Amino acid sequence: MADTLTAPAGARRELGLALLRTMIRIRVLEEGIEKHFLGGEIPGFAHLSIGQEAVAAGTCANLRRDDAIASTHRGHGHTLAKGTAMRGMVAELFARATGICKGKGGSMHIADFSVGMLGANGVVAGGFGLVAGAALSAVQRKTDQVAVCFFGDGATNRGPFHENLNLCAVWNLPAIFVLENNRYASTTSTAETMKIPDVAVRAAGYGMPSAIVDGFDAFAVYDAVGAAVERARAGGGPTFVECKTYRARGHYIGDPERYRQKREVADVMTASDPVVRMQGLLGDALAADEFERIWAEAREEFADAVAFARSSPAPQKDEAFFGAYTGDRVPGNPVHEFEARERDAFLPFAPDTAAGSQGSGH
Amino acid sequence: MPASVVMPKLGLTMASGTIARWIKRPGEAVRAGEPLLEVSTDKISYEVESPASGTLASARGNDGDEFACGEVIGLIALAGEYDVTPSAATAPPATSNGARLVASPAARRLARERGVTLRDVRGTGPRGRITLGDIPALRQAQLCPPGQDDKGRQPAAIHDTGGYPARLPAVRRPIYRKMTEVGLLPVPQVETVANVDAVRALMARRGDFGWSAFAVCAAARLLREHAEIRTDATSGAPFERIDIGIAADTPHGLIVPVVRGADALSLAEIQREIVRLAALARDGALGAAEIGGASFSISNVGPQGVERVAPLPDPPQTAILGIGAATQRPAVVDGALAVAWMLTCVLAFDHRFIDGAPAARFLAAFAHACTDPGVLL
Amino acid sequence: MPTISFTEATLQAMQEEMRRDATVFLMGEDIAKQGGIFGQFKGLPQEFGLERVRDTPISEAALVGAGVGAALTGCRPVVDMHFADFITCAMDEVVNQAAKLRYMFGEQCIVPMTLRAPDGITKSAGSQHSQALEGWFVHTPGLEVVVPADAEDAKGLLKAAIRSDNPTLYFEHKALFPQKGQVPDDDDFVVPIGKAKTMRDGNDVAIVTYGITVGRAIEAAALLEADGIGATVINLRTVWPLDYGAIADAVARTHRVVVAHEAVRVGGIGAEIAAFIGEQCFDDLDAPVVRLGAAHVPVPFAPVLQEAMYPKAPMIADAARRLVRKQF
Repeated sequence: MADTLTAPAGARRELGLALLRTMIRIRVLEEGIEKHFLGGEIPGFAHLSIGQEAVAAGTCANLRRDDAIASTHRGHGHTLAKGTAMRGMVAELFARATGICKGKGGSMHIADFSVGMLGANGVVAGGFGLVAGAALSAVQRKTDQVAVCFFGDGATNRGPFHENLNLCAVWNLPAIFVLENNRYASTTSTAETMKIPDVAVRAAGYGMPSAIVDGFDAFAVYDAVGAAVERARAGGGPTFVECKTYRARGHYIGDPERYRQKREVADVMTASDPVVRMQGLLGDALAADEFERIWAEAREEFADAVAFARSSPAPQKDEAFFGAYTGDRVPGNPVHEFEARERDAFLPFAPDTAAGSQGSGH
Repeated sequence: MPASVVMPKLGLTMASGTIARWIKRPGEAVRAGEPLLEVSTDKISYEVESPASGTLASARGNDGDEFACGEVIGLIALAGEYDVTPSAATAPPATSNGARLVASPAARRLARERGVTLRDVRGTGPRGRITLGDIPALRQAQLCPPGQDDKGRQPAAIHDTGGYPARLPAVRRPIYRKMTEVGLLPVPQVETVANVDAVRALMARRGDFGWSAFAVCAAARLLREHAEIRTDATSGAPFERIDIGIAADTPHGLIVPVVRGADALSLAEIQREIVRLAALARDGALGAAEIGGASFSISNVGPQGVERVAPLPDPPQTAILGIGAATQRPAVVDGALAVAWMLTCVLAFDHRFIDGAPAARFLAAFAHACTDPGVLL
Repeated sequence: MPTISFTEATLQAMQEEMRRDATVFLMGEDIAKQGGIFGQFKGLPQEFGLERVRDTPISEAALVGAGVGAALTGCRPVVDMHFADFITCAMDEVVNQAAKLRYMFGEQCIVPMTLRAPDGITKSAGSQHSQALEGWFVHTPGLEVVVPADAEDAKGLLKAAIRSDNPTLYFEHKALFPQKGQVPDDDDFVVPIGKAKTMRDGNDVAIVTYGITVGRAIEAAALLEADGIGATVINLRTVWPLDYGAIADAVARTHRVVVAHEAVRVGGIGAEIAAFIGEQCFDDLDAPVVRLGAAHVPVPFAPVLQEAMYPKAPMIADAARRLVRKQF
């Protein structure tokens, strides 16, 4: 427990509260998704980021609305932290027409271009190119926007990681690479898949500055990423920020987690739960009832999002056939006509499927 | 006997050759000396010419197949041998449920549009496929006399039956086609009932002729003078000869053997001829000499005990006489009711060539000959 | 109307579009300093600067991925693949990212990226530098695929591709670069994506094709004319979206069709076209649909081997002739 003398004050305190609020909202969202997924209301796969909230919160607190982020299959936290409303996210996971991707993306492909969220990506390391491109785009259009790539330790062994880090370094692009090193890819630990204890040394291989931070400490993440953002905006090029963190749940909901001990999970979360950590860091600067209020508001927000999702309709079946090409909703457009014929061929056989989980695991 | 196409021996050491490409396809007409196929050996490529003129009846092997020198790789059917009736030329061998007609989709559509019966069309595509170019222009049956056109084909029926009924026995196809055409012709009838007491008396006295023979004899004599009744629909003029067909029911179905030159034969000769023809018919041994080319026909259902038949003319004949069984019926003789042996006679005639009055005159004359057979002798 | 080379036509397209729209930029390997291995980028760095004409490291995945990212965020990148064969090094970026983002994000974004890919068989380049891969991308929903056949197509389709808001693959046959043709000298000349062009009219047989095979088909049509056979030649120009209407019209007119391309015949776009014809134009057919395409082998190096395994004018003419002579 921090004493009153070291408790943050002023802007730092406000920042701390904001970070805490974001992390609690993420926690509530993720626990809620877990519950509703297991309850059969969410089809497909879901990958929870419980334990990693500080990275999302600390990073995105530095970003403007018009800065871009690209995320991973474990992207709910990043999306919420960047500014997407819970309703749109939950409705998307519940496969509703009111989902932010109209029910066509789901958990792994959540995106919100209105806040610069370029999408969760179902391909590991799929975000590197998009972020390099977004950063390049800022340079082309002569703005001071930056682009942040969230990724996990597993992605750092893929080709695009190396190609894009190199490209961003050599072109001096305003990109920030935020690694959530949670120690496991799917079922393989970092110890098994790389010969280095810290991934950040790879950045040095590309001539890119790096930092290694405690990923459970939202302030630490905030400060490190903040420096990187400043550098990028000033034309100083890309930075690599490795956040040491941990995921409290399996790779996906339903993962039997045979690759680690339950004891390890419990120990890490007891020692390092980022929400508890921030609560501790704020100390007396955070009143107990304020803490409870933040939780209660988050739960209300989530409950409202669930009610919204549940009362929203499923997408119209003919929606399946449109949206791949611009102009394809315009009658007379040849692509539209082609897709309309396909729709007509398929609709008589299209079953009415209730929204719901079709099984977990992959 | 078809001519064989053999794999040629193109050199002293050649043992076999490979088919490079058949130039002609089965069903296609070929002339002697015309290239039939390309053959290749390890040394040369060579065009094999047709040994005869006719129709390529069969072609063995696909491109790339090898045959020994001297092996028969094809057959040329000589003129008259290859079955040129449309169904054989265009369809693969008949299966029990009817042969499959091979025609391109475009040809089928054009045939539908023109009312052409695909069965009547010879295909010149590969494997006898009917193609667009094979579909003839519309030939209206009522404008053009039914008969052979210059390509040796039956002209198209105006109404496309769309192929034969699936379970129609193949042997009925010619009748099916013919009746489809005839059914469209304007064929009225005149009918009379003749008193045949005198004929019966003559039959009993002589014992050397039957009803068919009598009808043939009477009709033949009358047709000399009533030439209109023996008009040939193909030419529009009377047949020169008086050959009379008699519809006969045989184990092989309806057959119409013909008594040639019946007007020159005596009643007894006609009877003997009928007997001879009947025997041949029963044995399925009637040939070209005995079938076809009649100028008039008679259908007699008397043997079945039926009083009346109104048959259809057999084109290109333009009239046909139907007679039933002679039976005892009430009659008026010299103003008083009596019982007489009566015969119902019907003359059906193609009104395009024969009017009602001449038809009636002929029938009346025939009826008169029944009452007074002496005019025939 | 000026006569210019295919190379010059693509260069004009780039110049015009980059002048017109400041968000258009170009990147690829060996572009800026070398001017492209076919000279197709000559002078661009001088006019537009090295920020808009960028040489990249040999990093196809990054190059295409960055192209997608830039396209998502307000630019119109033109990404040059050097050789179409190397798209394979960026397949995830093309297939899983570029093609899918608009649809799976519920139309929140556009991906107005153009991928230029010199392709095709020429000069004994060998199997890894000679492929025609457009079939893969037609089979991937979300992409547009265009294949110019001549200088006019080269300019008009490239401009259309750059202006299109959809991710567009532009396959330019390496052997076409020196070929000259008449090209309208007009900033607004654009060949619309998705519309075929009839190059030649004839009533006996139709040859439906695209890319370099169009020229070969026109040669074939001349050979056929000597035999009294009239051939219609359809230049598809775009292979996705396909101009199914133009194909159907050609079949309705001629009743006999050869579909030809340089890409491998098996599973090629000719197969899609032939199946469409069989399904939707059945009653117009007087003969089976014949497809020609490269043999199902990698492209060999030795000239005598290379020239043996893909269809050119004599083979196209032979197929058309045999169709007309009822040998199919």
